[in-house]
Amino acid sequence: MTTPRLPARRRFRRTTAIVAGGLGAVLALAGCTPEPSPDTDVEWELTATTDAPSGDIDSYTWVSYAEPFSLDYAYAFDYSDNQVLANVCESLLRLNPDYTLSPGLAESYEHPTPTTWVYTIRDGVTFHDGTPLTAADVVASMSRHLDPAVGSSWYSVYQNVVSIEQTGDREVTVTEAIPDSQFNLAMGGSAGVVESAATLEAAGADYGNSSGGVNCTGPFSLEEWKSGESITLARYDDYWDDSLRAKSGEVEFLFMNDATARVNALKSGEVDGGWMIPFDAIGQLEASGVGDVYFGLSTAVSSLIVSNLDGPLGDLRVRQALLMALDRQGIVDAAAKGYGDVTNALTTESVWVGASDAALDSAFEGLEEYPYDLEEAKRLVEEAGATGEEITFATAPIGSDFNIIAQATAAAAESIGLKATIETVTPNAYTALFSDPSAREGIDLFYTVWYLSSPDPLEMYSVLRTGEFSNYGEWSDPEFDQVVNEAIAIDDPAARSEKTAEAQRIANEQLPWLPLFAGPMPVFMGERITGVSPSIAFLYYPWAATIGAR
Amino acid sequence: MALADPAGRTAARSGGAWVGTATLRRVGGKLGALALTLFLASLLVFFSRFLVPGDPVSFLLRGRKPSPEAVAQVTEQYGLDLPPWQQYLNWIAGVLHGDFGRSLQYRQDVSTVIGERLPVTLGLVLMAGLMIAIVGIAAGIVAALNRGRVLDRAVLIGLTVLGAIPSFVGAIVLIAIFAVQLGWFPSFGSGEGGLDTAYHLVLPSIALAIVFVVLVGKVTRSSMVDQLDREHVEVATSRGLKRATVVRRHVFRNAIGPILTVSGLLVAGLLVASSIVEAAFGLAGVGSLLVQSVDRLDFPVVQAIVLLVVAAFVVVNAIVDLLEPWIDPRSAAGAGAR
Amino acid sequence: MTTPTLAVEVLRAPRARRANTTFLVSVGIVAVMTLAAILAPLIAPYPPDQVDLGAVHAGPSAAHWLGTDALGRDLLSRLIYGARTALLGPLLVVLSSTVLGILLGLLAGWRGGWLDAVLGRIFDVVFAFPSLLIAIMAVALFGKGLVAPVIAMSIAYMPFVARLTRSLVTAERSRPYVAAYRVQGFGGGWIAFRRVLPNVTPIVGAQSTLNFGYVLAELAALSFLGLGVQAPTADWGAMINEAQAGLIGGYFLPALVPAVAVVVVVVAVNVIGEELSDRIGGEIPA
Repeated sequence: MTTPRLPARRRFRRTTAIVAGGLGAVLALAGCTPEPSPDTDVEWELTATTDAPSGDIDSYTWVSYAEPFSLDYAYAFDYSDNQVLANVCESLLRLNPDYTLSPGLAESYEHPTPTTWVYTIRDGVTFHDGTPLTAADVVASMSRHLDPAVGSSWYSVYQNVVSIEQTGDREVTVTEAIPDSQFNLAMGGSAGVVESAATLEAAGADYGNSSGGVNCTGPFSLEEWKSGESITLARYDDYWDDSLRAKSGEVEFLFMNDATARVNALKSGEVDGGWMIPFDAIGQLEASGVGDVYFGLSTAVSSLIVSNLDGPLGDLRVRQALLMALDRQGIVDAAAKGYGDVTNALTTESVWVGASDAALDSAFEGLEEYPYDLEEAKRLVEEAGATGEEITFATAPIGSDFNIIAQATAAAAESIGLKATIETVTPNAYTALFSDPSAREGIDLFYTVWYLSSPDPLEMYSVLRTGEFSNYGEWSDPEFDQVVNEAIAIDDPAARSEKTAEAQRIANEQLPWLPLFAGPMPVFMGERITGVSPSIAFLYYPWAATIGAR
Repeated sequence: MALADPAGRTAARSGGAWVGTATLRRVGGKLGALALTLFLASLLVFFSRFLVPGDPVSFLLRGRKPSPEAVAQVTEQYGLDLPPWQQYLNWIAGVLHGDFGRSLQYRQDVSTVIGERLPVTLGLVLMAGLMIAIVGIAAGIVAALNRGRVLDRAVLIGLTVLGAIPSFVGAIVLIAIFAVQLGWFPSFGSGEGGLDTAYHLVLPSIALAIVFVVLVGKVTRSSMVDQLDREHVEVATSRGLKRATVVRRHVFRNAIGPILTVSGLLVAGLLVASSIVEAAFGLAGVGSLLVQSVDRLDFPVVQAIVLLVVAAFVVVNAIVDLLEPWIDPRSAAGAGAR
Repeated sequence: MTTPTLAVEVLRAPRARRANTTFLVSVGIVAVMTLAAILAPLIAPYPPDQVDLGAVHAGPSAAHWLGTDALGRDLLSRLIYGARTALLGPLLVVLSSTVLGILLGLLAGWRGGWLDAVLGRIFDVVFAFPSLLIAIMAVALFGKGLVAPVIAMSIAYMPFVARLTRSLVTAERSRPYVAAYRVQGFGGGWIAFRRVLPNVTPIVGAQSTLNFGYVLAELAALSFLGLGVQAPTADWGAMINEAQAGLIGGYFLPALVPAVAVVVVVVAVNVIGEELSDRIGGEIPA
């Protein structure tokens, strides 16, 4: 049997082509939409608290840019995991919206010797399945961070820990090899979360994923996890802390990767609120009248990580030159739409809790400013003999700010005589830069918004010591190492802060990373809800419990 | 000349028994070929990893912390210290039990991860399949019954234009017009379940169906045209049977064979194209999981999905192949029989 | 003695058809796109990567004939540069799958026997994998970009060409002129390559051009998924991917311009392919 050919096809093709072309033209014309002119002067101020709710609400929805890959506290290292986990699981200490620490599941703690921490566990607390919280649960939960089979992302917090033992009916003692002030400060975050030992045992390798779930002590319990779609939390009526009893019966987290879809969902009222609103949408949302945008405390600093000190950026003069060739205020205006301030330090003042005034002065006043000066920058590059050398900047289409910063950096590099290449990877592959050394091969610079999880700037500077995992460029400055290690051993926050200030000054002079700007944490609440305290502490503080009816 | 009686003819050929030894031999042969193809395909899927130069551990752990514990875990899970043929046997034994290993990104069993996303994809493919069948067959019938006239040409042009639109183009056009401009449908997500999910899946199913409607429409048309020219139809008409009855009983029933054959090919196409549509509409289905897993370097999941899609394709094709003599007895009786 | 090839026979037949406008228009479209791809740096008004944050999502104007995208990049320039990856990939795939397919099909059809059976099995297995799936798997193994998918798709499309070649060759094998050559003492290999192959190639080639459109659409889809050509490189599929975010804001042009380009080129290539098949193709045996 042969394949016949239809002779009449030719006439069809002509008409077909015309119809196709016509459709195309119609659609193309449909695409002509006038564009609103952008706002250049923005005003914003920090809000510590919003209006208290008038009463309880049955449920509300919240949007997140990504689904948590796991709710296991040992792996909860990013915004998407922690913003959910903070409402379900609790830690020994509680990190407040103002970044101070209060007692949490540990009703008190002591520091009898420089190397021991003794926690008294609160009585009368129950897990979501009704079983009581005991000291044994604390030991089991904390010990996981030391277990190589678990591979906890928070291992660095426990790096000096020698033993974790139950030393009394409601007492746990942690012993360290050397004096380490940072350990206790991290107990307000994911590193200090307590889970039921029985649940850990029963769930095994499935703990924290959508089959195993979690069984914690927080104001909400994990009710449903629709993989890829949403997570629903339900109020836990036997929560121990009445002051943070959930004001909503339920919270549903919806995952939307696409930024514009998120903004649209907020504008249309399909979703009641969200953290980390894209800066270019803030104007739209404020104008829409369907809710309010608030700006809260943030501990994040936007900076460029120098990941290759063997290349041209190995010379301090080149790093200085690049920083001076960047119009950082222009970048703030373009990338963050003006919601931010140029900074020359890798930490924000908000984390210097308990610091002395002298320390704050030393840490922030009189820092090298690196003003925008192309001539000087060019001169420095020439002096360093780096003219014509090449640098590679890695970026990802995560948001328009990433694009803008990549382009601006490349343009700045070219303007001072360097050759710049932008290498674009996908958002998920970009995350690999932060964990896989082989992913960083051939990359000289990449952008980060690095936030701190404890009220101490040393959390930032301990990362930059020689040999640390996140010291991506393998920067090594013995004087810096010594200052930081000395500071870590100091218990008194005020005294410690003065040493830390020295570290900050060294970092500001040596530029292992290039600080760009620091901005606030935006949050949107629709007209149905109110009550949240805008702050980056949403990562660890049970913020969802404070939201109720407007 | 007797009216077409396919069942009778087959029965006569094979000596009276409805399912004779000839049929059993045929079925056995087809099943054997199916098993062989599946086996070879599984070899390909498994050993593809060996095409990548370098250390398998660093390949599997790309983008993740290459700690000694992770290395040990991966070595154990994949049996990397065993000889390749044994690794394959372990893997295939697991697969036959439904164990596809652990997902690196979700820290969960791959079967669970895929299983949780299967309903959305199946719903999408089902809705699209229905649309393709209804619209495609209807269009084909209309065209065939009016062949040569304006309606026929209109249908053919419409089909050809649709066929030139790739599914991702169709998806964004549908989003632009029906979701954004007109606001009739949601542009994102798969809804709450049940009716709401069906509502969310309307635009995605249309996007998915577009390219394949052409195939079904054209095959229906040519198959029906082929039938309409046959003697038995002429005879039936001349005997005074109503046109509708003739079309229904004689033309369509005999035309259905090639349509079903084409449908077999559709399955794989739909499953794979769904990844594009799911990506465009933000649906949490198996297709978007595939793309996401490639992106996040989660090879166990990629391997599992590829194997499942190929298996589904091969099995459906084999089923259509097997059923062919009952659907279209003329092929059993020998090609060219008029 | 010369044997007229099938192609020659058909072409020598008296031209009963009129000049076909649709065909000419399609050829024109493809020619324009090819020229655009080759001459891109000369004819594009702007560099495709040039970001202009002051002209984000601008409508068509004298400065930007087709408007700009979310980063203020000129859409016309990106359209022109995008033709490069849009056309190069499918070209490579069609060429390599055709060459490979013809060779393997010739082998299978000419030699027959166990070689044919083995090759037939191999084709069956490759057929079981949808081409897009093979491409995705290749990306999972070898990384993103055009290289892995192009190689993968060449392998995926090869069986179609091979099967067709095989049927044609098998039919040709039994033709008198082949026997005549044998009698004259010419070796099997020589006959296969120098006499049978030229008869078969035009038909197969014409059929292959039909694949160009499918491959183009699939490679664009791959780039749309973020697995093929990577942003910010101007590629029609990647452009549509980047433009998705703007859709909800009502900015359609950044997505529609590349989308229309894809559809138009696919239709044009299909028209050309079908016309070539009509003119050159003989009866294709079952």
